[in-house]
Amino acid sequence: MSMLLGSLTAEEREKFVRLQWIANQAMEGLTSGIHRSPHLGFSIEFKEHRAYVPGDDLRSVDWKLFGKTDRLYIRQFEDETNLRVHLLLDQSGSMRYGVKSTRGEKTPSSSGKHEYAVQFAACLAYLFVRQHDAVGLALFDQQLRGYLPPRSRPNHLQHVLAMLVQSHCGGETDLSSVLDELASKIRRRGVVIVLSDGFDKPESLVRSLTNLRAKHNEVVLIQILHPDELTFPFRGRTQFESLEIAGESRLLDAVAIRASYLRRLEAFQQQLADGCQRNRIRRITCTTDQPPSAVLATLLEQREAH
Amino acid sequence: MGFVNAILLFGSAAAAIPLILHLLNRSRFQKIEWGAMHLLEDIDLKNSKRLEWQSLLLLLIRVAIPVVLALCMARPILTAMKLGGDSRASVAFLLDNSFSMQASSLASQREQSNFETAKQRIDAAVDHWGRGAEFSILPLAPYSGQSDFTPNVDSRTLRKQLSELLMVPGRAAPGLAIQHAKSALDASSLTARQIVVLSDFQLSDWRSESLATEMNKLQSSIAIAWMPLQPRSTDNIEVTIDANYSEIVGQGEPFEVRVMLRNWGTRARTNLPVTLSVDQVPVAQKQVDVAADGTSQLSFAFSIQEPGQHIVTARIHDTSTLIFDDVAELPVRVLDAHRILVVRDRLEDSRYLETALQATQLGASESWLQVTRKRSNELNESIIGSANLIFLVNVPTLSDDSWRLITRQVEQGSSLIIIPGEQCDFRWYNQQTINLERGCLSAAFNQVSDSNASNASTLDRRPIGFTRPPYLHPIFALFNQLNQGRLDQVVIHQWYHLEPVHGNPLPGDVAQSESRAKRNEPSMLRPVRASVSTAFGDIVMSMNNGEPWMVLGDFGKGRIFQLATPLDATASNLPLRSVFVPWIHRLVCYSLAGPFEERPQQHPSESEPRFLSAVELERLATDCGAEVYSSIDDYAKSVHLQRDGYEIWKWFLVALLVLLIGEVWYQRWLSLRGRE
Repeated sequence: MSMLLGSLTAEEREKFVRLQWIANQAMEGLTSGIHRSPHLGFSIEFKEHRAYVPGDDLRSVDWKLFGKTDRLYIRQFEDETNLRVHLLLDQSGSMRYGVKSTRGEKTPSSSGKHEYAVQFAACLAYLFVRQHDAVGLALFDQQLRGYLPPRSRPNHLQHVLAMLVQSHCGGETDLSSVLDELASKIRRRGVVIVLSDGFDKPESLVRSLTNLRAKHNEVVLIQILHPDELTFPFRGRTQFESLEIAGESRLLDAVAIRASYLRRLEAFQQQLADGCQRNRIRRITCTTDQPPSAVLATLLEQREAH
Repeated sequence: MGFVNAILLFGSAAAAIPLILHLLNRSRFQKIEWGAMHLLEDIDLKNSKRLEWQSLLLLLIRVAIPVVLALCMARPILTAMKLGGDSRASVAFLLDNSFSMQASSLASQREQSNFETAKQRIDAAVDHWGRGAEFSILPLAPYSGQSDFTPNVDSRTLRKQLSELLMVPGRAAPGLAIQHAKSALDASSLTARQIVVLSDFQLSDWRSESLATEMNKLQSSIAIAWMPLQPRSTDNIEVTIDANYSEIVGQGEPFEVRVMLRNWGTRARTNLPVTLSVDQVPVAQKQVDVAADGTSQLSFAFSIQEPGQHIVTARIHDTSTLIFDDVAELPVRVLDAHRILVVRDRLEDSRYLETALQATQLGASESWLQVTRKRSNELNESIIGSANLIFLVNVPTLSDDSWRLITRQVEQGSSLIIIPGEQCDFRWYNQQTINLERGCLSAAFNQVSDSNASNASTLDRRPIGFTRPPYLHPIFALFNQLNQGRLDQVVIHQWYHLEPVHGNPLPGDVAQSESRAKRNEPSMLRPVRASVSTAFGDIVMSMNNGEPWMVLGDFGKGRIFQLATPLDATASNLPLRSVFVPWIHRLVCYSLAGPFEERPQQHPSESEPRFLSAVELERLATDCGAEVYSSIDDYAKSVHLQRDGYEIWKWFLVALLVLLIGEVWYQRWLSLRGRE
């Protein structure tokens, strides 16, 4: 732990602590809110018993063994602790929207998409690590920028968080090629959670997610958008500078194009939603002004329903 | 275009403010780092174009606001009006000086005539035009008092001309006056020209079909303005004296004056007093009723004892519109004692003549004609020298001494009347015509003609007599009134041919003109030549077969009449008809007194209070291309408009308000459109 923190800068360390606290708070709130253990059994092959800890699902208590030993043991199955969760975090330039600009340009309110995605990923990592699941992390933009294979060790969370802290946005988005690349790295089936704004060509994005799904992975796309991207609240002459391609800009009358933009966004979202539904890809759209825990609860409820 | 406060135009520089703000805003647009650029593709091109023209339109509105505000405050004046924007103009005032303008003006609060009101309007119009303009005043009725109509810039001269301009009896002649005005304006160097007509637009003067043509001949650069003057009332009674020429009567000789009254109004007049005066002294008064749109006639008989020129005046006491026709005047010349010498060798030859001469004195208190009858051989210097009028009645010949005395007497101013007859030696008479030194006759007597013999050879059985009226010569003009007798019913049985004298100086063309020039007779005043000038001289009366019956020739200061028929019952029935005595009276008076002076008469139509209605006036003005101004204020506005221009700041103020409202609305529209 001390070695891990030592590799971080002071700012990153501050972010690390904060991220850890946020993840902890989010998970505490989540468990108390739903009154159920967040322990989710993803396997049916029995492996061993372990001592009961508060919060464990009583359904997993081995009552026969309790009758013999008078102690509560939990039945653990083969892959329960080896559930492989891949968190794929988009750190392309478009995810930087909402982050205060270093150049002093006018910036929108609310937190940035990337920051939100990092927090969301931390929460998920915390959740899965607490369940002794193996959590891996991949950072990418137009190519894979960092990869942490899934581990279920308790201190693996620190590595995940440290990697999240060190994530920086930049570059173009090429979700489909990166997902294709990751698909080759994920050899065992598991859960793939993609945290991205999804700003790519919908058909290629859906195709790449389908590839992951084809390898018996459960694929979840958490589309993170900024409220500005949904409401387009700009006024007057506005120069839109691309966050991904340097030098690309459009000088537009924001008021005049608002309606047109919203129509295009709706069409884009609809196309993406149709593709995900068709391929049994779970898709949740959230905005950066929504608490990650609330979104996570929604996600879990949806999984429970299925 | 000009500006009252041109310096405020600099305020339009404020238009740079929105322009600068626009440019600043254009360079200071907000920048947004944006991820979903793929959602902005394709729509930027269309949006940019719309953005450009929307912002350009908004910019134009915002730029226009300070510009229009500055224009409004600078009080722009539109000067490109009818007179070409030139503040200096040449204006010809056509003032109606016909008598109808004497009517009391409706436009004036006081009892003031239209003529005076028109003068005041001209005076005011000159003030409105101000300095730099040229003016000329022309009468609408022919007027000999002023001939120089050249425009001048001196308003004092103009006002002097205006005060000297008088009304004249004649009728207005707009066409002629327009031509004069055009000539006057052509003399001006100024390009902006205007003709201003001030008239009552009396129907008889302005109902001319050629008037519009005349006006349209004017150059398009000449503007025409009409200022109609309406009379206070259209009632009028006209008084006339039934006589065309001044009367000549003997001393104490009774004569009759007939006064005619014409009521032009719609109101009947009763007990209207008519006063007859001689030289401003009332001599008689009568009352008369005149029906609406009717006439009445009064007769006054009286005599004048004092020889000389007198003015007989008939006057009504009427307060209706026109005053000039409330009085009618008749000049009367009263002759004192004159001697008439009747030379005849036989008593019966002058019987009718002498009877007529005696009848002319009937009723006179004193005999103003002393008639002396002599045979041709009884003539001597004293007899001839005392005669003012000599009749030679069927006299065969005269001795050379007698003829010399007679011609000398004629040369000195007496008159000679030669009445032919069967006793006359026409060779002797005709010698007198060809004698170059002493020749004094205008015509030579030729053979006698008999109407029966003449008519026998022709199919025309019409009796020979005098021509039909009208008669132009004063001696016969009396008989233009049929109630005075019918000269055209006289039948002539025998007559002598009167032929022109060959080789003689033409008395009618040369000698007459010279003699008239010596007497300084106002021949130009004669409206129509009363007699036909031929190689004879003047043919005073002709027969209906075209031959002369009475020829007049001047000789020295006197005049010689030659008749074609004897004055007896065998040659014609003239001595037997009622016209004979009055005709002899006119002949004697004319011979003794000289030519009858023409009495200047106002044109009858001037008394008729009929004027163009507003509709007719407007229609005529349209045809003539004229603008009608009902008052001097309207004209003054037009003058100021043409001189100073038309202030259009109000329109700019409206435009400013429209722009301000438009800017607010447009901006709000853009805002609302953006929120959708």
